[in-house]
Amino acid sequence: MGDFETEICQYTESIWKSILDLDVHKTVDEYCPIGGENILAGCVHISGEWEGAVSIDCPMDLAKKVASIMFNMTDEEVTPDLIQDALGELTNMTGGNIKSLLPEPCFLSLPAVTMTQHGLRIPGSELVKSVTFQCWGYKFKVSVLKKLKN
Amino acid sequence: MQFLEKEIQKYTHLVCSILLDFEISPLPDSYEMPSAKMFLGSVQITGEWNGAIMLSLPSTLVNTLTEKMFSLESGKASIEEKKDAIGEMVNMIGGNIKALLPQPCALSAPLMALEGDSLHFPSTKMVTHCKFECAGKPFALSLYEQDPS
Repeated sequence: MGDFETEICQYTESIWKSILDLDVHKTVDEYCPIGGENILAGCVHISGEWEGAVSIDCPMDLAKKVASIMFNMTDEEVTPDLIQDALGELTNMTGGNIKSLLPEPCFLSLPAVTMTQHGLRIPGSELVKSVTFQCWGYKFKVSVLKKLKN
Repeated sequence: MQFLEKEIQKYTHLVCSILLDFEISPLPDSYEMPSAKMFLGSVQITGEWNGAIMLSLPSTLVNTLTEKMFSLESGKASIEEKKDAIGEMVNMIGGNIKALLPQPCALSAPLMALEGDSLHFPSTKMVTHCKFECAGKPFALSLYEQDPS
């Protein structure tokens, strides 16, 4: 098992293309939200033989556009609940694909979605790999975190 | 009576009294939680039963609990220590609640949201919401279950 970079890229590009018909590409510039920017972060936990989490951090404006495509609505029509549902669904699909690489048995949690200005906080976990992608003029990042051994 | 309400009250009381030596008391359903921004900590349960447990605490109570847990002077708790303290608290309560649910179930690592942040669990519904008072301050514990619809 490597650092998941290849798989994160492959699954993210494939999911965003198949579900949203959007081309997303890895970029070397890391997604570092500016202070005060609203970020929507989705997370699924993986429990079992391998323990950790998969998360997606993206700007609120991009999450809104994603929801409008996923639910075939205008930007004005999408509600906060639908925006959370959309990011939760993308996180769930990404996490499900990453889980398939892990030793069995592993279980995927339901997604949790947080709106934050601070980024996602999962105490007791360390970052394995984070990959930043570009979509339209926005950046977002997909991360795999592993639970630290006690 | 809400789902596992008595058990949630019992285990929240146990964790607070044993871990932190704080007495807590349940608040009535009619109690209106303050609109102040809350510090949120959650763990998710996955397996035969799927859902999440979320603890909502005001910042002042987070400070008090963290200072007690790590024996710190007043006002000295760092953000990392606050995350660790609330993470440990929700993890212990979640572990006890998990034991009451259909097995096998696994408990996730804690997920935290700071004051001003929000935390949502798409595709779930809140099945239990218990309110408590600790050191004169209110806090709440909510249980979310996967919504089959």
